[in-house]
Amino acid sequence: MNKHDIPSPGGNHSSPVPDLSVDIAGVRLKNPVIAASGTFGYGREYQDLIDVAELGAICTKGLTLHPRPGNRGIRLQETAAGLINSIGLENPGIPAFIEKELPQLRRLGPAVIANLSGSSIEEYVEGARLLSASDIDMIELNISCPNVKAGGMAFGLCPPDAAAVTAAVRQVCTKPLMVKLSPNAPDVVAVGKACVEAGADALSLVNTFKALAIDIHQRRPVFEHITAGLSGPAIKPIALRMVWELCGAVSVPVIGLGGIASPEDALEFLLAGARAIQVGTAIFSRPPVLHEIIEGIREYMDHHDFTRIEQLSIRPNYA
Amino acid sequence: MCSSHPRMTYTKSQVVDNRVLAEQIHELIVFWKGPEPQAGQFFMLKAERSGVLLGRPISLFWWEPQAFAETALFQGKLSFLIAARGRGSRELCELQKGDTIELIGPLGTAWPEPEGSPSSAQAAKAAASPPRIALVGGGVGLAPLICLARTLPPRSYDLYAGFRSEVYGLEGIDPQKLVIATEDGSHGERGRIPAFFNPAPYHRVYTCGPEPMLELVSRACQQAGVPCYVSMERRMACGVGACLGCTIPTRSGNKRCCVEGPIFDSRELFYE
Repeated sequence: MNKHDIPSPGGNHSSPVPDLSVDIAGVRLKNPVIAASGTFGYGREYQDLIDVAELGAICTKGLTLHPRPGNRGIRLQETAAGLINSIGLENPGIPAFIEKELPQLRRLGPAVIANLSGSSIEEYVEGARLLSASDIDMIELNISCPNVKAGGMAFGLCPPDAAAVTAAVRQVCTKPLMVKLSPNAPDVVAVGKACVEAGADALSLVNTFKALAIDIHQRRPVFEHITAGLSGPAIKPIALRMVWELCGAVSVPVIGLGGIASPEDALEFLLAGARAIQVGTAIFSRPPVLHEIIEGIREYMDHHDFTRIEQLSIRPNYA
Repeated sequence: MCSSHPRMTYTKSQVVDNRVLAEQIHELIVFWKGPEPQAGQFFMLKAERSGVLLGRPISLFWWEPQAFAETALFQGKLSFLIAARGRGSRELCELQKGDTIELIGPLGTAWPEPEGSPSSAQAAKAAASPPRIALVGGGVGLAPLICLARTLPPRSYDLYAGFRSEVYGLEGIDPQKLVIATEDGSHGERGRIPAFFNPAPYHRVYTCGPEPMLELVSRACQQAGVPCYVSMERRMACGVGACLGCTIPTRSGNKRCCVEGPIFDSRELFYE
């Protein structure tokens, strides 16, 4: 549809009010700005700092069936325009999440997306079963965490593995299912297509890039697991390229993330074809960036007479 | 703001002063309007014009309310001791008066109040008896201890302060006994401060500084059966408990240094 075909609801003298809401696999978000998994805790951590209710959605910290203590040793290393982390999926386990965190997270207002991880297909499936019976809106299947020894990213590197875990989870998952892809896959588009064929309702990308830091004084790697995951502005152009490529190859909604730190960054992803975007690392030093991005998208749409987010894409629709 | 009484806030503020206290050691003073902090808490600090991505967690050195503040919020100045070590801290040390700084805070736990902390009427009596409280700090780790000392009655505590060489940051406090140690012997005792500290006479010990020092002080206190509170330091990204980058394994499981800390009971940390 041409944007000029849409009549202005405000009459001749005022431009149409941009509608920022988006539909992701049947879940209506009031705007396309989502707090990325692992950067927003369970929402309440940011309640005193920003108006959390204004967000489109919140992705939880990566959840596993059983509690995980996370990795030992140093977990963070700042780099030029980036952050390498080795948290290792520290979380209380899905039953404790549902009992202790979900009720308050639900009350915050934004849609709740549970990020699900696991070290075996059986663990993913059992986690998906529990989450499906809970009051979440969507599952984000994490097959892209680079910081755990078993599972995690191992499922996200090649199409058959990704398809196997997606199909198994799909069988028990009664919620909309989004799969979070790894930029470390040799062919991320092929992995994405395999996930869609296996039943994914949406795709999000990218998780962090496998990276390394070395302590030159101690003469050893900074992280106990040697490698860890790079996020932040440093990865944005590569993430954007991957989102662009994937949006040309699949028909399900794509949620773009990777180094988004401003309204302009977010708009680039939406123009590249993403239906919504996630903000992560940028929240840490400046929590209000989330609202600046929502407002920046609104102003851009207003200025260019767009009424719906879907009109922003410059990517020819895959059909 | 969601809550009418936020515990913390994000704000941009102005640098009031940046004083060089010793080689590579700066005192940064900034305006602050927000929740009133407590001794032991910290802020995430980042220059607005910055080449780094994340704020740096820095403990409060002192705070001073402005006279005739009109709002319910605290309004005044905050001061921080900063050692120029990495890119982030060097950037903070290069800030000049009038520069804009981004702050998130106040964050984390405060020092527990000394038990039966004497009222002003009792202060004179307290001053006459030997102090029951010891503050043991090293380098810029003295900041949260000096912050606490400024809230205690004069001469109600002893202070043990260790430095590499130069002595700094001890103005405006009145300990009954002051023990100074420097690694090069240029001031006070020669050596490291735990060698000159005996916890036996005290009812409670507060400590902050390099981790080996904290462990020595904590173990000495545990042997003497004296409660000891430790202010810990970890790399942090968010400062508010979301990223889990600052997790510390304790006797009762993982704790976030930024939320459940930075103040810990030493028995939770050094127990093996």
